[in-house]
Amino acid sequence: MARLGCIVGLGLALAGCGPRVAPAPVADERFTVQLEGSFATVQSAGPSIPVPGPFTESWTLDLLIVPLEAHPDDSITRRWTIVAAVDAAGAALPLTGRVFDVRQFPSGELLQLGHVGRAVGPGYGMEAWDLLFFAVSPKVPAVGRQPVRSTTGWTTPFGLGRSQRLIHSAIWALAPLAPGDPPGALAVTWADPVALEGRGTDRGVDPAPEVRWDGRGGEGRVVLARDGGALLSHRLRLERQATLRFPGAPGGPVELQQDHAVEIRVERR
Amino acid sequence: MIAALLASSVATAAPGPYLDRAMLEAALPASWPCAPAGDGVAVLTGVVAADGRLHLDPQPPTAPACLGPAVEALRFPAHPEAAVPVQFSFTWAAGRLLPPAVDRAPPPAPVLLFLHLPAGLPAGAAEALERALGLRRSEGV
Repeated sequence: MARLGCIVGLGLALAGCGPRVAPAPVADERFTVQLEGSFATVQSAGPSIPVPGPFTESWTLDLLIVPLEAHPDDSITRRWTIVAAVDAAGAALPLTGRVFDVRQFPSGELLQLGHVGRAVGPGYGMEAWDLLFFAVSPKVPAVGRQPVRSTTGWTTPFGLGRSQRLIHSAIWALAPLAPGDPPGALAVTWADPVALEGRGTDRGVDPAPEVRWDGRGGEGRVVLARDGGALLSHRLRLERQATLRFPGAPGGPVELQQDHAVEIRVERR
Repeated sequence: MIAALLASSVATAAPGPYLDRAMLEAALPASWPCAPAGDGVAVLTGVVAADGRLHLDPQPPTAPACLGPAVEALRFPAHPEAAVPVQFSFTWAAGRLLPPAVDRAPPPAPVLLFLHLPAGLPAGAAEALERALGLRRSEGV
């Protein structure tokens, strides 16, 4: 994926240069994405109800991205196809074959996510794995000699009146290349203090439940190609908590909290 | 998973060989008679009638014309449901058609949104949780 502001690598600073936008990607891209998560739910308020126990997921996705349409504002819509999705035992998941139309700026900033509502629920998981979009399309800021704070956000639409918006803010800094990184690549990290917050509402259900997201820390490392800034890899770890309120529960309002501890590894194929 | 749950819920009313992903995939040919030029993706939808015949929906304009007849010629096993919505996802790159994906068409988003649930949830568990939380889908959604 083409991206890249003014990024400095190998310890050399290009102080004072401003962001520049790389050309929009015109070629197909293919990534292997590994999703690992631990999820634990507790009831925090309201009359007691049975809540699901803790569980883990370890999924591997084969993700193909092809350009669909270029827009006058330099954004581009690309189709993300989950060519294959398997669990830790190698069994195919229903997520296989799902397609998302993603409009984004060359910087990686996400503008629109399409068809996500058809990939929600057990075995699909986009209500929790919305982080996939940020992982594959991080908005890498212009980084010079000094680390910079950068903020980005994305709205995940699940259907009419059903959506959530997350805001990710972190300190980005240049990093040395590690063994295994392609020679000449650029490495950037983002780390604490990481702020991740968000809200969602579900007007598709009456009365409307709401979700609030609170970050609990995280870190990531992005490796980019020096020429064009294509994403080569992104490894991230994030902890966050969803607080869900259900005002229409029969015995009175119920509040649940679900902790998410996730790791995502994106590797260009 | 949801497709399996749906299938299992129907099974209580009329037992039989319900179409699942494996049965759908087994009906796909090893090779296809056409390979669209360039790169692209096409999602074709339709329904499989009880006799196993596939009736495709009108194809999106971006779908290569050569794929429709090849898909419509597919024959699936006879099954006890009147019509099974299915979805084919075709992807081709540099003129090479990748193995297509086929499955029962994904269901609409579940009533219980935001709370992440495990893939192996027992049948009916999500619905029981929805009732305990007082959830019901709004009119028209």
